[in-house]
Amino acid sequence: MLKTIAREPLVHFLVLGGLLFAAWSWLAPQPDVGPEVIIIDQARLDHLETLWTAQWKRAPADDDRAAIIDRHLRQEVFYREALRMGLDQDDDIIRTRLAQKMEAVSSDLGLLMQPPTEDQLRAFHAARPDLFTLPQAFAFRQVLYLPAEAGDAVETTLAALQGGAEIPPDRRNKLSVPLDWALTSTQALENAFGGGFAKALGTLPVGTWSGPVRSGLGLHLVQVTEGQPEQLASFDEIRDYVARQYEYYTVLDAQDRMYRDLLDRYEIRFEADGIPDSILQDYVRP
Amino acid sequence: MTHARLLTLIGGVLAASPLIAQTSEADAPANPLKEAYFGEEHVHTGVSMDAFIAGNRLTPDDAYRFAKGEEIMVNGSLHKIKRPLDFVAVTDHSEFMGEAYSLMNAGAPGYDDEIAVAFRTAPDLETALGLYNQYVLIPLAGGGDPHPAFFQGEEAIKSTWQKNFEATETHYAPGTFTTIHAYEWTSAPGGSNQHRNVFFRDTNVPDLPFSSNEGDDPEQLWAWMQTQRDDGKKVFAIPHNSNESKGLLFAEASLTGVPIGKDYAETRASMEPLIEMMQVKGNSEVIPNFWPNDEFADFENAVSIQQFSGRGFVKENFVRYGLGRGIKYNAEIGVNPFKYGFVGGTDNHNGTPSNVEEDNYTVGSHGYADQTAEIRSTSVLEGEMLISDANPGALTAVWAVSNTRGAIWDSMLAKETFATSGPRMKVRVFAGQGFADSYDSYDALVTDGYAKGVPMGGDYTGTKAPQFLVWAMKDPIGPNLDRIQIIKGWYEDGEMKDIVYDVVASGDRLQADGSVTPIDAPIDMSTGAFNPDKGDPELAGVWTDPQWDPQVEAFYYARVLQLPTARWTLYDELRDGVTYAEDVKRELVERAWASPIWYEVN
Repeated sequence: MLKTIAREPLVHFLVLGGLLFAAWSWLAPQPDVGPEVIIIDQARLDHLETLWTAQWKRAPADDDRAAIIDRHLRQEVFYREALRMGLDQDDDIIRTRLAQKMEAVSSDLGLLMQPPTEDQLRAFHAARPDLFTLPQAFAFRQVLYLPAEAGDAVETTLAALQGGAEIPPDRRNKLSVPLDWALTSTQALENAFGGGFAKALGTLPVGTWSGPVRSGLGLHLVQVTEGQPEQLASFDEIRDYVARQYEYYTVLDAQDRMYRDLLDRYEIRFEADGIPDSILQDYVRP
Repeated sequence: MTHARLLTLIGGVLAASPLIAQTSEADAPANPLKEAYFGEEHVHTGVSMDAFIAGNRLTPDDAYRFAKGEEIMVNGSLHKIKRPLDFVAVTDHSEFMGEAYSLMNAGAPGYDDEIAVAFRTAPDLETALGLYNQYVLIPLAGGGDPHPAFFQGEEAIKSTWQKNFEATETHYAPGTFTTIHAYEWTSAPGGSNQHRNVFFRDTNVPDLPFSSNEGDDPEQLWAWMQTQRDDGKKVFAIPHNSNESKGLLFAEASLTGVPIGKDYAETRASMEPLIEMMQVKGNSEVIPNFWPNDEFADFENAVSIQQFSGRGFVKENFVRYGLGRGIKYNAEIGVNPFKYGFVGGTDNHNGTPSNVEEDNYTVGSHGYADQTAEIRSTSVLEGEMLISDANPGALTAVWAVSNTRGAIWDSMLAKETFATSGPRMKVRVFAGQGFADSYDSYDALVTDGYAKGVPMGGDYTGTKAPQFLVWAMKDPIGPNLDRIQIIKGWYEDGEMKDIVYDVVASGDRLQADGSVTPIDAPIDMSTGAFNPDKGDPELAGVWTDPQWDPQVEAFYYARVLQLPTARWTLYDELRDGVTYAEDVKRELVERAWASPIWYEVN
C-alpha cells in the first residue's frame, strides 16, 4: 500500500511542494522595504486587451477586463516567485525557449540593419563577385546537322555560308532550335545545347562562319556575332539587385555571425571523455 | 548594353526579375507554331501547414525566386536548380491557410499563441509531427473542428491567400516567366487520395479558396468551381496521386455512392481537363502487376505506398485504366468523365519548384524527413512510403503560343501538354490524314501537323484509320532517345483493352514485325554517366493504326523513352557514401508522356 502511494505522481508533487515551501519560508530573504511593485500602465493594459480582442474577435467588456487583469497578475506573481526561487535554472524547456528567442533576435538584427548604406552595398558588391559577375556570353547564328546527317553536307554548307549563301531551308529550326541567338550566357547555352557546345564557342572567330562544333544534339556550323567575356557587373548598373541580395544574405548570415561572436566570449572546456580531436579543435581558442 | 539585357545575363537568374521593366502580355513574343514551356504545377511552400511542420519556412516569393534559378536556403543548405523554369504554379493547401498566417507572420494575431509557438519552435521532426497529429490530424479524423486554437478565422485565410496572390503577381514577367494563381484542395476521405490542384486563368480569383473543410467530396469542389465560373472566373482542376486513391479516382460511382451518370460525367469532364501522371510519390501510369505486357511499366511505381494507410494497389488506381474506363463510359452514357490530358509535378514540400534533377537531389523534397542522404537511405516519409522509393518528381510541358498566363492556361485546358519524368525532352503528336513520310524542316512538319490533323489532347474525327505524325527530341543535356511508343486503348465487346506499339526507334532497330532490338547502353556505375553515343537526338515518323475499327472507342497516347540514366539513389551513394538496400533501383529509363488523342464513336 505504502509502495503504491509512494509511486503516485500526485504524492510526489505534494511532498516536493511541501519541501519547497518549507525551504522557501526558511531561506528566502524577506523584503525589508515594503512589498514589491507590479505596475499595470496604459501600454501594458492596451497590449493585453489587443491580444484578447484578437482571440475573441470583440472588444472586452468590464467583466472581461477584470479577468484579463486577474490572469495577468496571476501569471506575473507566479513568474516572479519562480524566478526568485531559481526555477528557471537548468530547465530544458526554458533553456530551449530562451535560446530560440535569442536566435530570433539575432535574425531580427539582420532586418533592423535596413536600409544599408551605399558603402555597405558597394562593399558587398566587391566581396561577392560570385553573385554579381556577368558570365561569358555569346550572340551567334547556328546551323545544326544531326550525327546521322553529317558527312559531306557539313563541309559543303560551311563553304557556301562562308561564300555568302543563305542558310539552307531544311536547316531552319532544326530540332526546334532557333537559328539566331541573342547574347546568352554560356550556362544557359550549355543547357540548351549540351555536350560542351558553350565552351567551344570561345575558340571560334567572331564574324565568320566556322565549325563544325559538337553539342549534345549534333554538329553545328556557327557564326559568332558577339562575344562578351566574363566581367563583374558595375555596381551602378545593378544597384537594386545588389541591395536585394544584400538583404537576403545579411539575414542568412546574422544568426551564424552572432553565434560566432557570442561563442568568442566564452572559453569552452571539455571535461567529458570520448570527444574526437577534430571536434575539440573547432572550439580551441587561438 | 541595356539595363534589362545586362540583368538577364547574370547567370540567367534575373531573366524574370521584377526589376526589369515589365513586358505586357500583348507584347510577349509569340510563335503560332507554339513552343514547349517547361514548368511546375504542384509545389508547397511553408504556407502549407504540413510543409511548415516538416521545417519549411519558405514563402511563395522564395519559391518563385528558386524557380528562376536563384540560390535559396533550403533546410539549412543553399540550393538551386540547374535550369530555370518557364512557369510555376504554387499550390499551397487551402486547408489551414489561416493557420499559416498566424504561424508565419510575426505580429499577426495568434502568432504568440502557445500552440503556434510550439509549432514554430519544434526542435525536431518527431515533436513537430506529434503536435500536428494532436492539434490537426486527430480532430480532423474525429470529424471535429480541424482548426487549432490559434486559428483566427476566415480573415486569416483571406490574408494568406492575398499574400500568395501578391507574390504571384510580383513575379509574373510575361514572355519570360509565368506564374499562375493556384492552390490545392486536399481531401482524402477514408485515406483515399482525392486531391486536386485548382488553377485560375488570370487575376480574377475568389476572395477565399474552397477547402476540404467546407466540402471533402469532389462534387462539392466542382459545384463551388461552377459558382466561380458563373461569376466570370476561369478555373479548372487537376487530380493527382490516383495511385493513392484506393481505386476511387476512376470509380464506378460518386463518393456518395451514386452510379456515375451523364451529369456527373459532364461536370467532371468540364472541370478536369488534366491529370498529374507522376510526382514525388510515384508514377501513376501503369504498374507491372496489372500490365505484364508493358516491358517499361516498372518505373518509379513507389510500391511501398501500399504499406501505409491501407492504400493497396488496384488496377483502378492507374491512369491507363482511367483512360479506358473513360472511353467505356463514353460508349455507355455518351460522355467521357476521364478525358484527361497529362501533366507532371513534384508535390515538393520544400518550396522548391521542379527540383527534379536526379544528380542534384541533395536536399530531398520533404523537409527534415529526407533532408540528407543519410536520412534518405534509411527513413520513411511519414504515413506515405519509404523514401528510397520516392523520386524527385516530374515536369509539365505545355505547347503554347507564348509564355504568358493566358496562353499557357488555354493550352492546358486544351490538353496540348505532355508530362516528363524530369528531363526536358520534347514530343509532338498529331492525328489526321495525309501526312508525309518525312519533312524538309521542323517547321514544315509542325505546320502540316496542324493543317491536316489535331494535336495531342484533341479528338480524331476522320473516317479512315488515323495516321499519327510523331516527333520527339532529346533533352540537350541528357542522353539520346531510344524510341517513341504509341499506347492504344480501346473498348470492345464489353472489355477495356490496351496495347503498346513501338512506332519509331533509334538506328535501324524497328523490325518489320513491330518489335525493337533492345539497345545496350548501360550507365557507368562508378560515375553515374550515361552513354553519350547510342540512340538518336531526334525521332520522327508516321504511324497508322493497323487495327482501327470505326465502331470502337479508342484513345492513343505517345510515350517517349530515353536511354538509361543514373537514379538519385546512385548519386547519393557516390557522393555521400551511403548504401541503399539491394532492391533499390540505381538506374532508370526517363520518359515523356504526351496527352492522348481520342476517337469517339458517340
